[in-house]
Amino acid sequence: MLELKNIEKYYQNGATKSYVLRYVNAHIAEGEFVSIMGPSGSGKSTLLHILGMLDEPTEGEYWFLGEAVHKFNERRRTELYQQYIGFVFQAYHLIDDLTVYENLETPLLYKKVPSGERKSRIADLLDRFNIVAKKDLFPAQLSGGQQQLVGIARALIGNPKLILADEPTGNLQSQQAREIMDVFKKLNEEDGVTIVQVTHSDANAQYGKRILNLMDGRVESEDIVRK
Amino acid sequence: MIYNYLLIAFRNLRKNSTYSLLNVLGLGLSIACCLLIFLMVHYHLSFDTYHKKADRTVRMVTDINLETVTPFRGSPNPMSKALRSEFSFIEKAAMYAGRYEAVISVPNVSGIPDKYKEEGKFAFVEPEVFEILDLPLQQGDVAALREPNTALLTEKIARKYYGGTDVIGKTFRYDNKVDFRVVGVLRDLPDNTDYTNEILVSWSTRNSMPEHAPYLDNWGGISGDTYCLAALQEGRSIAELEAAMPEFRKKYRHPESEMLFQYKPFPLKAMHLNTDYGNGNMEKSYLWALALIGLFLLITACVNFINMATAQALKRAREVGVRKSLGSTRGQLFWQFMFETALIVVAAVVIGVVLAMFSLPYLNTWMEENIHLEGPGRLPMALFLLALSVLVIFLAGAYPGLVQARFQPVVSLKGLAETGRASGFSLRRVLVTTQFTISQILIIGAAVVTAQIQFARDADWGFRPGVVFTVPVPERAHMNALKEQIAAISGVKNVSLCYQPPASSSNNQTGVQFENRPEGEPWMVNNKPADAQYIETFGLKLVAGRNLQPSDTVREYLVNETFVKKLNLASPEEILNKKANIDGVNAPIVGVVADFHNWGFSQDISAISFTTASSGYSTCAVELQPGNPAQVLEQVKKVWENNYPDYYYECNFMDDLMAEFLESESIIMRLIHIFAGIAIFIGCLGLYGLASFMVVRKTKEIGIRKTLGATVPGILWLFGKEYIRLILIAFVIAAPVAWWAMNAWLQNYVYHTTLGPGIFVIGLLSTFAVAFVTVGFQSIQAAVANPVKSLRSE
Repeated sequence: MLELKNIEKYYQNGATKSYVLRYVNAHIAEGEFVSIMGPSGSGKSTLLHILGMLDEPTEGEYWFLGEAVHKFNERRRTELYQQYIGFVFQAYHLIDDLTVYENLETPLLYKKVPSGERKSRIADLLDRFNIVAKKDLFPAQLSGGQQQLVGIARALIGNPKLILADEPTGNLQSQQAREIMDVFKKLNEEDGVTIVQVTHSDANAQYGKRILNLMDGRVESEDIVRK
Repeated sequence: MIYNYLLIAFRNLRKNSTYSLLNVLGLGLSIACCLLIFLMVHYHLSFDTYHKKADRTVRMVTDINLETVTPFRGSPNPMSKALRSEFSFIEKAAMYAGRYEAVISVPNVSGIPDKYKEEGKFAFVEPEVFEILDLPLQQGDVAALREPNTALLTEKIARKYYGGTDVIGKTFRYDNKVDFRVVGVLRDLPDNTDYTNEILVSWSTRNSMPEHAPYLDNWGGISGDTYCLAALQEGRSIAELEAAMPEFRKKYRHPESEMLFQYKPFPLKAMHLNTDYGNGNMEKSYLWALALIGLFLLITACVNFINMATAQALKRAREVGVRKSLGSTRGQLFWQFMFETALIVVAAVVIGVVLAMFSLPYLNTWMEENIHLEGPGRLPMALFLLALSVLVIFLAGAYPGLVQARFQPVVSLKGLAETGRASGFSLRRVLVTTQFTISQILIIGAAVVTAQIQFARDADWGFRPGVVFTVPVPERAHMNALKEQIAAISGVKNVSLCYQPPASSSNNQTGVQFENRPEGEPWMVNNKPADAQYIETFGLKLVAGRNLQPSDTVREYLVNETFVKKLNLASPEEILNKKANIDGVNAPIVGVVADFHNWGFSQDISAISFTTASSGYSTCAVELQPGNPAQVLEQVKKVWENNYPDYYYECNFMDDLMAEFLESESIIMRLIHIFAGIAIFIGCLGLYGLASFMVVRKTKEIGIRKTLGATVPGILWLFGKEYIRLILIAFVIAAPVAWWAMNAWLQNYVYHTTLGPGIFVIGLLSTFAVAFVTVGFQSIQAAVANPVKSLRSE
């Protein structure tokens, strides 16, 4: 599904370059559930942002469904992004001024989905995540786990092929965290959505099928999760 | 999508209600001012442009060519006849002679006629004027105006005199002398015309009026209120007529010299804003200055908006990041922010229009204008508002919108958007400096105008305005009786019969020939008929010789120092007992009075002569003893009405007459005070908003500094030094600009105040004061706050 070739990311600081990512090569196939692990500052989040087209690599090639993302301008990237990718954040990042319903609606507005279809899709997801009763509440009125559920629902609303999750349970208690991870697992197994997550937690990584271990910007090793 | 934009915009504005309120208020105020200024400029530019032939209509004006060229509004009586016979490309030409004052008597059933004193309403016109200007007839016939003693009235006047508009055939009497018959009714005149006479009577009547008849074919005299209007044929240019003038002048020469009067066609549409030939006291440069002030106010309000929006952008950075991660393009985000701006601007426009509506009557009073929101000005006004809104939306919204839409999602999600740092903050400095600059220019401008008016008020006019008032002398018949009877009233110190007070807008300029010099002098003397009590009544100082002796005819002259200087005589004594021929009468000069200001302060003092030509008396000046004047005034009125039962009593104190000389300056002063005040207020709103953001942002820094031992003054300095620096930079820019502009303005006045450093210090200090009051409170609050609290909240 996507392929990274010699991805580098560095910041020029006077004469010296400070590297965040070095020679990252990776291949992720459709339907996979991949976890990226590594200590703080190893470049996990940056890698995820590059995969999610929110950030650009300084050098290297990024192929997504056979298309050369590294050659695209912002508009083409946004189009690709709108069509295939959903993002889930550690801090949920719901828009404070919008209700649950409106938060779910926003990506569809950007994709110019017609009103009728917007309504049915949102109703579908509210139902699926059991948050119909919460649809008119503002994010501040929800618990962390509920907010993250809305975050996932929002990521799913555009029927993405790929979900990128940046420590999706980092701010949650363990019980809530387990529930969220179950949702991801179900999505991957039942709906065939490709998932890439960044995580600190070994337990969470066990939900996936493959683990990329990052260290100082390089992929140090790859593990296959055995059930 | 638009609904979503609106929704989020609305919720955001509500959440940050202080910020929204400051913006709406600031923008609303500036939009109200811009709208009022637009209305005023549009009104003045529209004067006499509505006539169908306005583009090819001219008024003939006259330059009087003496040692300097004096522009004059009028043209000689035979001008229209000569133009008609001389130039085939002149479609129509007509004389138009307004009378400054007229007493109209309208017969009524009781037998005692109703009397109306009309100022600037009565004019003798040739019927061709109706084919030049758009003066639509409601009923009747213009052709009837060829007959003598016929008149056209506007509907307004017809209703006033006769209680209705069905008035053809009715009669009235002018100045107790001449009867007129109404032959038609005109529609009421619009406000934007300088041809405001509403009683138009036939020119041919003048043939039978002894005071006019001898001069109707005379090229030698011109009066400021007697114009010649001419419409050229379509396609012919004014330049063509102007080019033909030298030849024309030779043929229709002034008997003394063909060079003395130089006739010139002047475009009708340009007349209103021309101070040399026009009748308004509005100049083009004032309109430009007003427009500039409007722009200043707009910039100030937009600067507020940009400052507050960029300061706030930090708060919105996360939202931008999230939206980008949800698939928003940069363009969609930009338009979202523009939508919010638009919402604020629309609210501001609504407030601005309401404010303008409420303040328009006050503006009309202050400015002595007649501007309406209704009528033909409505469409341009709507277009202006639309254009203004779009302009403000882009001026205020584009930059913050672009900055915010460009946030990198990854960075802004972490809440570390780069607005605050290098680029954003220095831009904010530039903007705040711009505001300070504008405020200081306006403060200095206001101070200079005020100083000049103060200068003129306090200045020595050379005569004592004191407790002197004037009453008119409508007829020579009873004037000596009037004088004696007023003088007999206890409480009256001096009484003088004269043409006009020392400073007056009515003047009588004439040539002068001194002693045996072969030629007339190349300058004119301002001849003021006055009796022997004049210099005592007005407190003029005699510097040589003696006063005039009582007489009814011209026996001798008094002159002023300028008269002596213009004759190149070394001392006032030298002129005594020499003869001068003024206005055709040769008589000795017996005394010299000290110079006094006879025009106000914008012009040089004229050469002046006084003589006891009682035929020229039209005013009676009365000087009161100190004490309660009310009773004396009552008695004067009674005496006057006994002598002149057919006329209107009017009493003018010299103080008021002299204030009229400062009228246009006073209007400018009021305007610049108001606008400077508003500019400062709008600037304060922005400064206040900005200061609150800075305080919030620095709360933690202040807490840390205080735990490290910083004092309250030290913390205040943290805020203060920034503003002090910006104000000083602004002053360095504002001072030369203001100096240049105000110096140019003062050059309009021959006698003017000096631009001392004091005025600039006022500008600087008041900006400091305003900034301190605005920013100070919040800064002090932040500085004295308990550091434990501010640190805990982080």
